[in-house]
Amino acid sequence: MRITQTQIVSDFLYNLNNTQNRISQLQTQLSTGQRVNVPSDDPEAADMILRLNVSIGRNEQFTQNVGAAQSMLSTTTNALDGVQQLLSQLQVVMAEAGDGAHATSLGTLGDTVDGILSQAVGLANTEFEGKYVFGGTQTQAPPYVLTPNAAPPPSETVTYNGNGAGIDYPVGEGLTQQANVTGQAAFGGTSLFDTIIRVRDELKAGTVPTAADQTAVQNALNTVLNAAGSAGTIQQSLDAATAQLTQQHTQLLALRSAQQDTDVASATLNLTQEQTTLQAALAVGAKILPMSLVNFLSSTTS
Amino acid sequence: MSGLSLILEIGKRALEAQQFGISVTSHNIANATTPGYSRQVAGFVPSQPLVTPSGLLGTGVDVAGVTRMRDAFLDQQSRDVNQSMSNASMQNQILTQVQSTFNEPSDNALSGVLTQFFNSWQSLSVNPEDSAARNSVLQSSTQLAQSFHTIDSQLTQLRASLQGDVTDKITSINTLTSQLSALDLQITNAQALGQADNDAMDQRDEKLQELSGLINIQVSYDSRGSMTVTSGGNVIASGAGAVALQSSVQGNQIVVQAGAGGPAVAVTGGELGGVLTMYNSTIPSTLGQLDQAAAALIARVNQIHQAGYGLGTPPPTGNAFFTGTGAADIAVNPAIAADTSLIAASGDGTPGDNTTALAIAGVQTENLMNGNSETIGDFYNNMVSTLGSSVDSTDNQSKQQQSVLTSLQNQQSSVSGVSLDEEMTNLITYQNGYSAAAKVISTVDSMFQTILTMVSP
Repeated sequence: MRITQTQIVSDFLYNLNNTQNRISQLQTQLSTGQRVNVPSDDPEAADMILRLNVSIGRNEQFTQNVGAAQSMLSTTTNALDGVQQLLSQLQVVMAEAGDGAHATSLGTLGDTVDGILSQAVGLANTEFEGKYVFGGTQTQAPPYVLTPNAAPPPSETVTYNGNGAGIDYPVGEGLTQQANVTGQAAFGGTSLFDTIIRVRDELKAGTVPTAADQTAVQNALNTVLNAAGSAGTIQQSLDAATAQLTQQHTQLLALRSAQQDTDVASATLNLTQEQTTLQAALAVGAKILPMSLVNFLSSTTS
Repeated sequence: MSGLSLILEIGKRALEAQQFGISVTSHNIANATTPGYSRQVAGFVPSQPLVTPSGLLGTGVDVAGVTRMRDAFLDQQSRDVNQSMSNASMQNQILTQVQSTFNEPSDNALSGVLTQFFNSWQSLSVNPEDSAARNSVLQSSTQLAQSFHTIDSQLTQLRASLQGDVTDKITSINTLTSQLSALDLQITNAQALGQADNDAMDQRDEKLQELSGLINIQVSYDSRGSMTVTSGGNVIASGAGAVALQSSVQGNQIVVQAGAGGPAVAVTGGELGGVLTMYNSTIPSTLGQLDQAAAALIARVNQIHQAGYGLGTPPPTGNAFFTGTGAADIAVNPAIAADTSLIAASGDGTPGDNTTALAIAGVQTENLMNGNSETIGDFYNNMVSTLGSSVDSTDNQSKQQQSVLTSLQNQQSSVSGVSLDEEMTNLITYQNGYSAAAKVISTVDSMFQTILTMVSP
């Protein structure tokens, strides 16, 4: 094959251009730290990255939701603990009332129970971030309202304005977790408060609470304990969900990194190789390109 | 005497021939870097011999003309490769712009904003009464609508700007075809006088190569060496004249016609072919897919939202969340933008219920696209990665064709290119030939002198 000057020049430029293109690509990869900067860099990897981004976004949102559910549940548990203590206190008061030595001060004990009642109602109307936690989905109005009764007994009635609906939080792919305890589950609707009111009315009227009252208080206490227990179980499963979400998050990030991030070691190595090629090409070009018979003839012809 | 005169004549013609050779060589050297120039070779033949009693006697050299070194087959192949390379590279150039309007993969791009949109509904499901959560739904939805608008309007603008490209390319094509017709006429006129206009032929080949980068062409030559250039079956240039191409927008498509009101030209190659493919099919189909995604989102979210309840007494219901029908006009219902309590999170009207918010967040994983086989997000991701594949494949295609073209050009250059080494060698050969012929003449001259001295007193 005849080789001409223009061929050598165009070959040289074509190859030099290719080498410089590869160097520029490697430089972009190294300086951005990303192997895939636009989908065309690696369409399959880009598809994976977009899908992983969605999964990562969802995972982070689920983690937030779990956090919110946990805060909600811990507020609920605290309130239930408070009610539980109040009921224990009530049991002590009732035992004192049953002890004949204190028979004269039944009215005073009635005042104590009055305090217990208002604290219990206060706890049952606990708010967390603008919502009443024991109202079911009726979160915007206090679920428990005390109204004086025109025709006692009882002297006051309690109304439950909430409902029995659970609020489900999304906590994982296809997973929801009820994060609220309704007044019905925790306090048997109004029965806990009805019992306290009855005991108070009896004490104020100078009557010792009956055995049936004691059973009712014990039952109410059991209901509260059950509700606190199930809230605790939910919290444990939420802890497990957090752990799982965190692990998933790590895995997803690793997967995305494998698709998206530059393998710095190999990219650096490739860059060094390309630089060597470029240097060699330039060196050879500098030697070969100016060469022609003309250079050697100039002395003889002149 | 006649013998010496003959030798003198042979010497004179040899001098002329070597001089002719040197002028062809210097023409080659002068045009060594001229694009499209084909090296020329001076043709020498021995002149008609003289019949003598001792046999045929050579009478020296004749110049037979100048031949252009060119391989027509390589030219045709180069044109074919050039038109598919230009097509791919033009498509690649435009597709890269299309790809960049999507700005993926990035958190701020549509895919990220879509995830944020669904996440904001999940946040709302956790705090359905919270006005901050409602504001964040409004904000992410507005941003989502904005992202759809941005991509849609950028693609529409890009497409509109291609109309100008088409006009420019057609102007270049028409200029080239009329130049080609003129050159062809010049060549056939010279041919009629028995002369080869080598430099005009080089120019014609060069213009044809240039034309093949703009549009798909077929070139044929008749026995007189006159060319006919057709594109998609329509003659666009010949010695008889050029047919100017015209473009017009018909419906939603750009149509190219040969001559005013002439037949439609099927443009499949060259840069014009690339631009037309983008304008007539690729960009509209991308816009269509974007519209599909937006429309599916609007319809499904509205369907769920209208059945849900906002905050208030009585809780408001029946409101559409989005207005609009596609990527260009998707927007948050202005009533909702003005009052976020209209955002329906509740499925039964109680303020703490979150079933509607959960259902809208669940649209993220619902298979709504492609005959209910893909989620909106997957549909969009596929669209983006398919676009990436197209950019990648047109890039590869254009690089491959470029390397084939380079190799063809090298082969052509091997035949047609000027090698300075070769020309210098020829120069020396001709120079030596010239000196030798001069030597012959001076020898004959001294022979004449000898004879003249003999006869002089």
